[in-house]
Amino acid sequence: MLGSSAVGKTSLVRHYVDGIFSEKYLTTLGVKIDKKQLTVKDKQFQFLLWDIEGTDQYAAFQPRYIRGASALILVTDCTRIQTYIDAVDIFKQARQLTDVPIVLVINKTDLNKHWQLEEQTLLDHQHDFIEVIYTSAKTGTSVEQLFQSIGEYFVKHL
Amino acid sequence: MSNIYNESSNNSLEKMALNALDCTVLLRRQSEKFEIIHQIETWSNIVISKISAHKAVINDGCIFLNDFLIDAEMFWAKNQQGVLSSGFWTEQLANGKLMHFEALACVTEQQSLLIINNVQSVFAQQQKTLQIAREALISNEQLAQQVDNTHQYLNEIATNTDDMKKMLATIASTIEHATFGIMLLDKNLKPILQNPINYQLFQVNTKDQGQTETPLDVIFKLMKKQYPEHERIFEAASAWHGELYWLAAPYYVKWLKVSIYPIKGALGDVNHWVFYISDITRIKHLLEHNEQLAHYDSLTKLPNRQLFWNLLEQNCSQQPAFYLLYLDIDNFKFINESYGHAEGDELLITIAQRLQKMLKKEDIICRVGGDEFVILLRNIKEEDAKKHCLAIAQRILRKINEPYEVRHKDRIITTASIGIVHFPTDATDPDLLMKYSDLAAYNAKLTGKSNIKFYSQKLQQKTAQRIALENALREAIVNHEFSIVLQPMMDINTGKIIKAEALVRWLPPNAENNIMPNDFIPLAEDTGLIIPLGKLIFKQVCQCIQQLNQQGHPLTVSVNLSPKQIYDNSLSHFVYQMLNEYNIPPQQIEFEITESSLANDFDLVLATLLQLKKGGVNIAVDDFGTGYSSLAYLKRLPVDSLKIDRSFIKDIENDENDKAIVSAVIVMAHSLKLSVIAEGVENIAQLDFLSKMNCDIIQGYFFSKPLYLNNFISFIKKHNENLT
Repeated sequence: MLGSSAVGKTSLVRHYVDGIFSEKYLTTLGVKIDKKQLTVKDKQFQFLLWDIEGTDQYAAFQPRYIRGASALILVTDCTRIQTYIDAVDIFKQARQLTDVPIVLVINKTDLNKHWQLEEQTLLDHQHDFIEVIYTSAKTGTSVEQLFQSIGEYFVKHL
Repeated sequence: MSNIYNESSNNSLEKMALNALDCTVLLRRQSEKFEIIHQIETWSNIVISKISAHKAVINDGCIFLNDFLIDAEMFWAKNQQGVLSSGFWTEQLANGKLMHFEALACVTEQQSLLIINNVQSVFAQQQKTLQIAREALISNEQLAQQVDNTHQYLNEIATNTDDMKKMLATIASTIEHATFGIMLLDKNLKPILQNPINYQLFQVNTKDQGQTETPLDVIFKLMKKQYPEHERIFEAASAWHGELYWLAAPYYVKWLKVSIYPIKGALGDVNHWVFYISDITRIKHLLEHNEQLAHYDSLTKLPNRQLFWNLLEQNCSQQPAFYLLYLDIDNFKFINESYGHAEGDELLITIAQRLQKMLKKEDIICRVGGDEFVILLRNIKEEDAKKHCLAIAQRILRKINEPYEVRHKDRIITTASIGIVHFPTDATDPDLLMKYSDLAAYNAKLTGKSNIKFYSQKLQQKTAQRIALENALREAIVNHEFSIVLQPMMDINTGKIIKAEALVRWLPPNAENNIMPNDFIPLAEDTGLIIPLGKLIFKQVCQCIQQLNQQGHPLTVSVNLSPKQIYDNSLSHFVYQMLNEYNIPPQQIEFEITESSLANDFDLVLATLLQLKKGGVNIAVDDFGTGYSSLAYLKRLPVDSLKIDRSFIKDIENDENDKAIVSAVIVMAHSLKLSVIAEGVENIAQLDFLSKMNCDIIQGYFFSKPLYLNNFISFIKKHNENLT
């Protein structure tokens, strides 16, 4: 799970693994790894979800953490355009290190504020990702679908 | 000590120390197998499994630590003394409790160690600090985004609507519902509209007409005290962003974030000012929980503006002299917009690091604004102090000029301008020192990029004169105080006048003499006034051509295009609209561009020229030989002729180098199928030489000075009569 700080990476994991959401923002330091089993078309997957500290001026992108990753989930916050700009930057850095599938997540869709981002800008980058998913860790919207889509990708491609 | 304690008591001391540090220490015996040196029984089983009394492996379930072992093995293999950290990671226990660890791979005395620290308390402390910093960062980011969006909207409406009532009706709702204070002011800084939030921010009752201090009064009062350089913002019509500390004892203590923007009309003149004010007291309060964050800029880690003021005041109260250097990055906004904010931030960090490396320990460097740094140079030897200071400033500029590699391997080149003021010679008061250094930096920027200016009283007068001239120029455009003069160009072979260059003269009302282009065109170019002025001149040129045509003299007239005009998107459309309006064939226009225009952004210049050329106008390269010449560029440009600069013609009778250059240029131009115009021809010897070298056209006082239209027509008539 990659992205700027406070985009909701931990909340997405908490919702998916434990089915809970907390309104209180608690910043992640370093890494926390969670496990979750998933079955897609009779195939069993074990997700090892690396919830990584958000990238910002206090914490740089750590290439070491994505070594060995099977897929990357790049999370943005739909209320903060800067998180999308940061995501494009993280994407470019990650792509220099790995060619694993990447999903772009646009989180916090429950909040009634959106980017002033032209659809075209998003479309220009859409082909970089195996999927672009709009989620809300708060309401749970598309959280299951996010991980399910990664499972389906592996069923199809492996 | 060794006399007091025996070996066993030493061991027990080490054990006590390791227990106190809460760490488990493993000695690497072979790949992924360790000898236990010390373990904390209460938690070590979370990360390691014993395989015998003293041997252990890392738990399979401890995924992060197993992953770190890959790096650790590589590190140990090098067998070089040092430490490699894993960074923090978190393990969740079966009961839900979270434990935080950090692993260190060490090599000491040829031994490979793996130390696993329980970092519970350090983690909590760092999490608290970062939590505060990140919350503040996000609040700031959201606030800036809201202000940006609102300003874009207001600016668009205010710029494009002439009708004040209509404009206010359109923007009223946006202003009313904004979550921060907004004040719309007229060009004289008189409030037109303020929103309720603004009154609330300043604890002002909107119905209380007797209120002695308005929100604007408060802002100006605070700016005057805290940002002595602020006056220049209004004089020079610049945008400004800053934070103001408001202590209205005993009731309020507030931090206000203020952004001020001029709203300019088509002529670049200020029609309105808009102020955005946000209460950032909470953000500041969060930051002040951590002294480091409160006094240091979180991006560059340099002292911030608040700490800088303390340091400046301290230095002013002590007597040793110092220089204050105000360093402003040139075109930082452009870099941010072109490469993105992340790259802009990276650039600022690198600049800060470069500056720090260049300065002595006793010097002080702070980041006092978005792209502004201040340096206090202390302990400069009194002898030749100014010379030393200049040398340091020049070194700084050279260092800043070195290319920057940003994340995507792009190389950015940037420059900076430096204004310098001396304590105590120029001022002894911190406010004045800042004001004067800012003024000097502003002047350094005006004289071009990468410049240094020392403050002087003369500089202050010069700034005032420049601002007055800029205002007069703006008025002059509105009042059409410009005239066109035409200087004939003669075909050397036929002796006929085939072209004329249009030049502009400015005659202000009540002035005795014209103001020559060299005295106002550079200013117009700097301030952007060249766009409306250029359009006005072109319209007047079209009127001249129309009259020439009506009187049977359908000449081609050349018009100068400045670099800013070439970058103006509306240029081509305007040109052909005018030609259409005055019924002028496009072949009767020749645009002269200078070589310096080509050097800036060749592809953009090429696109503009191709668009112009497509419509049928001619293009000439002016002042050829004085700037950045590239034959490769010339070949690609849709150019019809070259004008050899007058500096090569001046001494052509005697100077062998000039002769060689001019001959070579003529041959080269002809081989590229370009015609050649020699300007500044003043005598028969020059004409003879140019004629021998097959130059096509001449222009200069030998033939005729620039003439007003009526005189020009008379001149042509007389010239033609002589020819026949």
